[in-house]
Order: sequence, then structure tokens, then C-alpha cells
Amino acid sequence: MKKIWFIGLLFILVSSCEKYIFGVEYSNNPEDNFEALWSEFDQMYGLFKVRNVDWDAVYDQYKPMVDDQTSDEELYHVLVDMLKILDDGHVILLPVGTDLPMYKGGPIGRIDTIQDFDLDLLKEHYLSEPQETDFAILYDWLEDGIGYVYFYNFADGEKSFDKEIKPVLDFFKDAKGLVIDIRGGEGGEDIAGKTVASHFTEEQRLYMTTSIKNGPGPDDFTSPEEWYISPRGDFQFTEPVVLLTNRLTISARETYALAMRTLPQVTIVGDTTAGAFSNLVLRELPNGWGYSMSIGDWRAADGTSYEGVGLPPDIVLQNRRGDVLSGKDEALDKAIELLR
Amino acid sequence: MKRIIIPILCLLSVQILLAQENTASVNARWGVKAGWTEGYTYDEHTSPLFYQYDVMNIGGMYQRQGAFLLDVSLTLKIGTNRPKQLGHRTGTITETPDIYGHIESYEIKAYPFFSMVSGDLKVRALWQLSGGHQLGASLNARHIYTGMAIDDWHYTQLDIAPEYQFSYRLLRGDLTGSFSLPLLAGVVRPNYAFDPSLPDLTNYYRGYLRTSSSLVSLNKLFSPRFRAGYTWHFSSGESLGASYFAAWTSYPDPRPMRMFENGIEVTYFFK
Repeated sequence: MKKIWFIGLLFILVSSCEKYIFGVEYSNNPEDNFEALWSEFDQMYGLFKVRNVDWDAVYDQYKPMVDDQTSDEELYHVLVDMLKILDDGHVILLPVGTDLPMYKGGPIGRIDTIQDFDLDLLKEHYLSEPQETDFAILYDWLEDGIGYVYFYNFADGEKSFDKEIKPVLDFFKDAKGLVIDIRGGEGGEDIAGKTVASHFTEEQRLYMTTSIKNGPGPDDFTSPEEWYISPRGDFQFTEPVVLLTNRLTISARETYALAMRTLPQVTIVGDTTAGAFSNLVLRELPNGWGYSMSIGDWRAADGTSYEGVGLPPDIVLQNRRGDVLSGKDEALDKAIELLR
Repeated sequence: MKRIIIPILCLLSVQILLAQENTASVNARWGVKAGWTEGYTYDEHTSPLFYQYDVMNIGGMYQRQGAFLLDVSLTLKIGTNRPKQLGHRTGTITETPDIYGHIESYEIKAYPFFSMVSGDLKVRALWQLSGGHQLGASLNARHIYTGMAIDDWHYTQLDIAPEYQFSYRLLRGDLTGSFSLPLLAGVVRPNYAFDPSLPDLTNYYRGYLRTSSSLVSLNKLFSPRFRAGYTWHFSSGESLGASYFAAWTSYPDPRPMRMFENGIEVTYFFK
């Protein structure tokens, strides 16, 4: 009987005294939620230096706004205001279990209506028989000898994207030029962009370096990893390519653009990209709200960081909303003109 | 007195000879098991929340009694994992507005009901000491894959541990208790920034293997395991057992992680 009591006591201890037995650091109260968010960014966010943010000063400014009487809504606004300082497209706050909206940082988070691009309107006015691969690519002829390739996402690995791009390049094998469109849509994995870009190069080229935060200190980063593209597939497409970008071109789309811009046959047309290159991690607060943050320092081959700035196109051409709604895509028209 | 001692000595001698006969002959058997595990995880490196998992166990066993006891056990666990205080949760993701200003949104389930799979493989060899005492070593492999902080979470441990077991004959069965403590282990767990994406790697787990595998000893990994149970032997040669088990794991890198699990299992060995 004593043994049963002992086991029962152990159960109670383990299931109710987690703070002491497991060392659980935070409780679910407004101050701990604030501390948990601030300190996790302090230790893991990879772009304070690049974005020139003094995170300690941010703490001093915002911490006094939170006390044990702070409501969920008030806490949400304090946290959002604090995160806005980072202006990072990879920073999201998802207040799970409340009616409060999801916060998205960076230029994409500020958009209330897309001004310059709509894939459905483009399909309606420029494409006649668009085809799709399994999950990532839409493609068609724009006119004689000029092909159009749109990437829905870069959301898988090397094997998948070799399989995705192969039928597309076989289809356009004899094209005199290609428009590759990476406006809008989702990000994905950098390895996908690297794989696709490797089908367009005849030699190995360095295009990016990445360092990831690997410790709590401000200078704790891994030594830079070098990312190269090198010839891939049965043949490489070396005819002229126009890459279309806009402010919604984010993350893995941008690292793909970094790879493509190293190629001599590629011209980038459109608007500057979103400026959020680094990988991100997802985390949560003691109250269960989710958030994400950038964890590394992603740079172009020459060492330049485009974080928070975006990759500028070779030819700047910002579509007007009215034009797009009436079926005219000026950036695409320019691309066709360059390839004719 | 002499009349009593001699028969007792004779009986003991026969017992010892029979025991030696038994241990010299090889006796192998297969078994199956099923059970339930409740566990708790706190990984400071992943989440400030305290997680609880409840999983069903199923598995198979192989035992071979020769000069020593070889015991192989494979357990698969499947079930649910969620923050203990908050439970299963959903959140609404909003997409970027389109050219007409329409915003699409969809719900994500942070911790669906089936949110944890895990596997344990244990191979142990035990030598009989005096009485019911047995001493040996075990090789243990453990992999956990679940969700934590609205993302994937995994933990892998491959360890070597000395193992002690005590058996006590009770009625038509054996009351058994065992304890092991890994001394050397290989551990794979998310590295500091969680993200092992590297230019030449296409698989995240392979990335973790490369960037966050560690060979550790007792001073870093403290992972004692305890099991106690009773096995009833049928005259037909089969046996049925029930056991309680508990295990603790604490590992400090890159930030502290602590796990406790305990549960019950029913085992059945075929003839």
C-alpha cells in the first residue's frame, strides 16, 4: 500500500511541479510572455547588426509597457510595435486562440492590396494553353520562341525540383528566350532554387554565403557556407532569360534570384524584392502564441547583404494596378521585348 | 543431523546440476507486447511550454537463454503530444491580399491528435550472478519525432548502458526489476538555431546528423531507466507478463532538455 502511495505521489509531483522538476522558466503571464519573446530574439535572431537594431534599447523602451494587468490585446500591440522595429518579412506573430490578427513584418506585411501582379489575369491575357508540373511550375509559350515559366513555390528538395524543371526545359529546349516569373507566391527551400538555377549554368559559380546563429552571444554565428550552382541535367539552358521580380518575391525566391543574377544570359526586370533572405524558425510563447524569426546572415557572393533592402532589378519597372486589372503586364511586356 | 544435511546437499547438487543443464541448453522464444506511455518534455531550446504526450506502445520481443540471456525488444509508439497547459490549439494564417484586396485565410492545427511517433530498440545481454541477480549491458536506440513550437521536433539517442536485473520466483512466475544507466551515447538533436540547411544537403535530418550529433558520456546525458514487472509462466510454455517502466532523460546542449516517461506494458511470449 505504501508503494502505491509513493508511485501516486511521484505522478502528482511530475505532473504538477514541472517548474521545479523540469526547470520550466516562464509562466503564462503578460510579463513572462514579453520576456520570453524578447530574450528568444536576443539569443537567436540573426540580423540585429545587419538591420542596425539595438535590441537592449528596444527592451528598455517596451518592457515598462507590460505588467501583470496587461490584457491580451494590449500585449499583442506592444509585441507587434516592438517587432515592427525589425521590419523583417520573416517575422510573424500568430496570436493563436484569440481573435487578434496575424502580424507579418516587412514590406509584404504592409500591403493591403497587391498593386502590380495577378497570376489569373496574366494567364487570361498572355497564355493560351498553360501546363503545370506536379506542384511548383506553370509554363506556356508567350509567342513564337519565347517561353513563360512561373514558380508557385520552391517548397521541396533537389530531387523534386530536378523532376519539376526537367519537363519544362525539355518543352522549351528550342526556345530563343525564357521569361521566368518569381513574383508573388510562396518561398520554400534554398536548395530548390539552387537546383533549378544549376540547369541554366555551364560552369560552377558562387552565388551566396550563409551563416547561422549558433549561440546566444551577438557574434555567435557559424562560419559562412558557400553556395554554388554548377551544371545539372542533360543540357543547360543558356539562351537569354528575363527574371521577373517584385516586392512579393521573398525568401527562397530571392536566393534563387541571387543564383540567377550570376548568369550572363539573365536580366532581372520588375521591382525590388522583399529583402528577407535568411531562413527562419518557428517558436511559441508561454501563452501559446506562435512567432517566427530570421536566424542567419544570408549574403550575395560579393559579401553584400540585401536583408531589409531587397535585390534591385537590372531594369526597374513597376506595374500599375489599373494596367494589371485591364490585362496589361508592363514588366512582362518589357521581358518579351528584350527577348525578341 | 547428518541425516538431514546429506539429503539437503544432494538435493542442492541436483538443483545446481539441473540449473547448469538449463543454462547450457539454448532456449529461444518470441513475444509481443502492448501498452501505454505517458511522458513529459521540457526543451528550453525549443519552447517555453511544458509538453505532455500520451502514446500507445506496440512491439515485439525475442529472448534467447543460453550461457547468458539475450533480450531484444522493439517498441513503436504512436499518440498525441501537446503543451500540457494549453492542449490542442488552432491558429488562423492570413495570406497576402490579392489585387482586389481579398485576403484568404486558413486554419492550422498546431497539435493534431496524432502528433507523435517514437521507436525504441533495446538489445541486452545478462549474465546470471548468485541468486536472482543478473548483470549485463544493453544497447539502446531511441528516436522521437513530434511537433513542438508549431514545428517538427526530434530527438535521437543511441547508448550503451550497464544493466542490472533482479528476479524473484513468486508463485508460478517471476517478479523482476531492472535498472540501467547509459554511460556513453550518441545524441542527435536540433542544434542551436534549429536550421541545418546546408548547400550540399537536401535532407534536414541528414543536416542535423552532420551539424548536431554529439558523442556524450554520463556527465552530460543522464538517462536512467527502470522497469519492474511480474511474468506468469503457463504450464504449456507460454508466459504472460505485466510491467511498469519509467525513464528520465536530461541533456544540456545547446540548452537544457528534460524528459520523463512512464507507462505500463503487457507482454506475451509464445511457446
